[in-house]
Amino acid sequence: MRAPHPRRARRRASAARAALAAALTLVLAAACGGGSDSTGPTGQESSSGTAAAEGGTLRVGVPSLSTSDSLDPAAATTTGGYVIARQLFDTLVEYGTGGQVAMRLAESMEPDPADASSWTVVLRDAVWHDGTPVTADDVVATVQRWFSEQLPPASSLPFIDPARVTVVDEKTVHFQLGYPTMTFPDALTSPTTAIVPASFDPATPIGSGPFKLGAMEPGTRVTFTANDDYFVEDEPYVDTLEVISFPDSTSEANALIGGQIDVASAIDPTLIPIVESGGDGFDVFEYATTGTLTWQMNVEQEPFDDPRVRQALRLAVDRDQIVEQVYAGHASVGNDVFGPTDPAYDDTLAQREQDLDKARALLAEAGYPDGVDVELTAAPIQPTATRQNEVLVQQAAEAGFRITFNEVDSATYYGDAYGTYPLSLSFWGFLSIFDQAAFTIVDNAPYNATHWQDDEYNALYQQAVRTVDDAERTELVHQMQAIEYDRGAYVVAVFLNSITAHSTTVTGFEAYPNSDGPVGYNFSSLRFDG
Amino acid sequence: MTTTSLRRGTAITLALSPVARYVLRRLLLGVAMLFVVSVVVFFFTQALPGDVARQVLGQTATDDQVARLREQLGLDRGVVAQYLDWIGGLVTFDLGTSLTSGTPVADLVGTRVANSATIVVLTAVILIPLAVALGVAAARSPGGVVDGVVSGSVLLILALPEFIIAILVVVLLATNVWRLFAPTSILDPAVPAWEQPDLLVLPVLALVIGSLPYFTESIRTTMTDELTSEHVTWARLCGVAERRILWRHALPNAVGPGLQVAGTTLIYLTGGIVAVENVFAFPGVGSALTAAVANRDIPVVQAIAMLLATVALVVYLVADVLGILLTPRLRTALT
Amino acid sequence: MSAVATQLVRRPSVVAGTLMTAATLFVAFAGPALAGSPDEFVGAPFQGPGGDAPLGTDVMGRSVLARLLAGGRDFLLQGILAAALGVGAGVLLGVALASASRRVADLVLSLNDTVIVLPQIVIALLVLTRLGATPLTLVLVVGIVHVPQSARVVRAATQRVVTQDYYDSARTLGASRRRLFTGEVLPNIAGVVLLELSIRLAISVVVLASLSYLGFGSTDTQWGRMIHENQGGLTIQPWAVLAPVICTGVFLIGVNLLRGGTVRALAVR
Repeated sequence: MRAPHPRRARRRASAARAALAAALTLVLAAACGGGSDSTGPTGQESSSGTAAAEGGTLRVGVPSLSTSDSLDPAAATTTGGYVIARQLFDTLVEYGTGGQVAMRLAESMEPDPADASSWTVVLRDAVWHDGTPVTADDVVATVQRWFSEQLPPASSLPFIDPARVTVVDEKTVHFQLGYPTMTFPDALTSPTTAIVPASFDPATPIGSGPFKLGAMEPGTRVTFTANDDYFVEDEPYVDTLEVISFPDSTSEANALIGGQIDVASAIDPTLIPIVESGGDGFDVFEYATTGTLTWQMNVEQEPFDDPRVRQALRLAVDRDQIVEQVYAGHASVGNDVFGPTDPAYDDTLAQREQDLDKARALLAEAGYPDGVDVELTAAPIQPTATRQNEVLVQQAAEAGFRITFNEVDSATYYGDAYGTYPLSLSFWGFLSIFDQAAFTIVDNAPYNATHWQDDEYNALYQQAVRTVDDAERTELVHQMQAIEYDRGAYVVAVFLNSITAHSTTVTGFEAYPNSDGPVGYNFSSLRFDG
Repeated sequence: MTTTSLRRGTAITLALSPVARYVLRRLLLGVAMLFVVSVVVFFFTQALPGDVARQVLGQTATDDQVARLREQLGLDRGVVAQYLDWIGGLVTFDLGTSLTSGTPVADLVGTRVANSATIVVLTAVILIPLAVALGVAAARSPGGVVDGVVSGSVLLILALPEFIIAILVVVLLATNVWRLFAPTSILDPAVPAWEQPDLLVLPVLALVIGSLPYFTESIRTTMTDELTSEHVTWARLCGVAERRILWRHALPNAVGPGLQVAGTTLIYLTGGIVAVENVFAFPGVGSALTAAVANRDIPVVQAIAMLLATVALVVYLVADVLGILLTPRLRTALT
Repeated sequence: MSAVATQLVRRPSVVAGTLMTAATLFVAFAGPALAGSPDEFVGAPFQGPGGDAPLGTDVMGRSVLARLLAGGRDFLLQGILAAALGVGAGVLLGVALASASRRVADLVLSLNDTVIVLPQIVIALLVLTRLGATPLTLVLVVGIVHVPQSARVVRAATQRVVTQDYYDSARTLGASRRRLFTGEVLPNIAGVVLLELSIRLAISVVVLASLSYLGFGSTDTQWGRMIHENQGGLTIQPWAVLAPVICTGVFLIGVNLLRGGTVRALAVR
């Protein structure tokens, strides 16, 4: 069962970097090879024009819908809410098939060339589900809505001043920011920033997205019908989309093999052989993502207040063993820094390997020659979370960490005690490096359960988000990542693969490495073949 | 119940038979019990860690926003005031509003209750006659073929957790061996459950297989006790035919305990389908309950708890009353 | 009593039951000493039997055999303790109810029935969510859940005894309360109590496994947890699930055989 919370924690990406198409990207592309259908990063619309059968009802299994699923994208905090938002609405931009920012409802998004203190967005020609055109007025109304008191806080869009978002012409909006930042486009990739009509009513949600809302049975299933006027040619391919909730991967895989669904998303990696045992009619679409189950070391408490103890735990972790034993090989190792698809990601940092002698030495140096007791608090927020924690307990024991694993349910985990755990495991990713920092690392980051603060890092961050030049900014980001690598408080051990099992009659799968969900929840490109 | 109806009830009782008086007393007791249950359920659910306001708003929420939502949801008031509000609603059949979805609890769980009720009733309809027949047959000829088969299969099945049976049933009949039935019960919410029988086959089968042993065993033991009791032995010695002994001497006295067991089994089914619903992804009351506990959707948890308690109360009442009516000794004991 | 003992030893079901129960208990209690490390990785996840893993590997590539040996003791202990706790309290309560004065019995009975109608799964979920699933909370929750049911069954059986002619005659003959209890009631409800105990043991083990399946098991190595964490791989590495299922099953079958044979031996007497 997947809990809604980690996603909520990722809401509203706020970060910089616009039309930069730098080189350092596809660290993950190498790891993508594990997929049985590795689809290269092609354009989102590359599928149009192929000879595929139109129509039909596509049934997609997801773990799990909830009664909290919102029809209002700005209020979405759950998997189901994100699924719904991606079908009914469009964001201005999205993380595309290479994990880079790509245009969606926007035709272009350009910064003030001098200092990124303002941004200009031009909309493409699109219509709402009721046939009226999407206009700049709608965008302005949507932005103002984000700051409404009735909705969850927009605190991760600190640079947007709703009073200074103005209509230039029918298709053009101008954002005068509170302060210059290159994180602007990243902030607008999150499904919670989907654009809605000025007259939006969540009870009858009208959007511009590939599907219209059919029937909704909260927590069980949501049905969508095709929007024939969608701006991407030929999409959506199917007439009807049914998103069906399953309590776990096993029942979802069973439903696939039994022919009750066509696509089973977010399959537990150890269950891949089960789908393969189902016969020739099934296949697995898999790609590496930036999603990670990350350990958070609380620097406000012993023993992780000492950077040597933090490095010791990082050195105690055998990342390859986690990939092999917990993920059956269907994951890639992490290097204690986030954002491997980000163009500014530093892939020159030496891959951290397990070094028990060094770990023990660091512990002794920090005053724990006989080892140290630590409590790990975590919830089963992903199918593999408990297993990953069990492996940590075991691996760290060899270095002298006596970890007590306290498993709680996710509502307890994210309750009032969140942020007070000495050691905990959370789900992060699907963000730019700047967003990740804004959420979990820099000064006043809202979800920083480690409470780690570093003045040098904060200064670099403030400088980097204001730097328009790609090369210069990349250099600053490298310095930030080097600091995290040397003295940070996260153990980023693995990046998860997105694993989608499906009937071979369904085609059109594409990798969205920096987007949450199977194929980034872009179900409109899926179609029945033959 | 109003005072006038209570008074009228008492007046009628005076004129009624002892059995009717007993039933009325049990009904009044039942209402009192439900109040006790409501208190326990309410305070148990209040004690859950975590806060729904924070759940709904997310981690970014400021304390102000959390406070405002708590006020909107009425969570800022005293626990007693909240309880009185809730119980006041229950009395007028208002189950409250789901905190997470904002829809009335009745709308949210209505379909799921109907779904679960469908498989429980179907299971009971198959289970009860089957278990009684097997139990009586086994008790009549100890060591016979039926007894042997019953003992053997009972032993085997009693040794398997229900969800294992469910998983095995899926492997055998739906996915890997034969693909005869649908492996999961993803019911179309627009159509009543009983109109989708193909999706109900496996859960009902798993439940029947899973609860047959306890029920059969209990019937067999009760019948064996009766058939070896002194009055039956006396009847045998007096030359009464075996068939007559079974129908006139043993069965009537076994009905009371048998009904108790039937009641227990039914309650067990109602509460125990949680794991089975999970295996089949069945949209029932059990999965609604686990989801509501996980989301801290307290009104839904409370509504389901009260519903299950009411069902249990009614089932036991019926079992007891029928037991008394049908057991000669107990019936006369009342007068 | 020696007649009963003879009856017991003569019954194949009693002998077989004793053997099966004893064998499982031996595996469970000696296992932790015999087992290699239950946490060591010996291969890829869900590999079939062979090499370092005679029963194959589990969901994380650990030896199923090593975990099987390590995981029986705590699991069975929890089941046994929960059943003993529940039925023990249930017998006391049930007999007391059947022999107490009408007024007291009515009061306690309605309280007992109130507890019965509380949906047990709800209570279990709430308590375990609140307190966390530890061996202690699991035993208490599962055990206490048995009490009202056992009390009800025992009371029904005791009532049947007290409405029998022989009980009436014993009482008319002036037998003391204590004598009535030990001489008439206990022997006549012994079958029901044994039946109840074995059934409650079976239910305890099943409930513990089911709670584990729903994510409410304790996190140490246990048969219940093994079933839970490996159930997804049933079709590719059946031993990871079937090994603990079979061990639990043999134990339960043994207990049930023993109970069945004993009940019949007592009935013959």
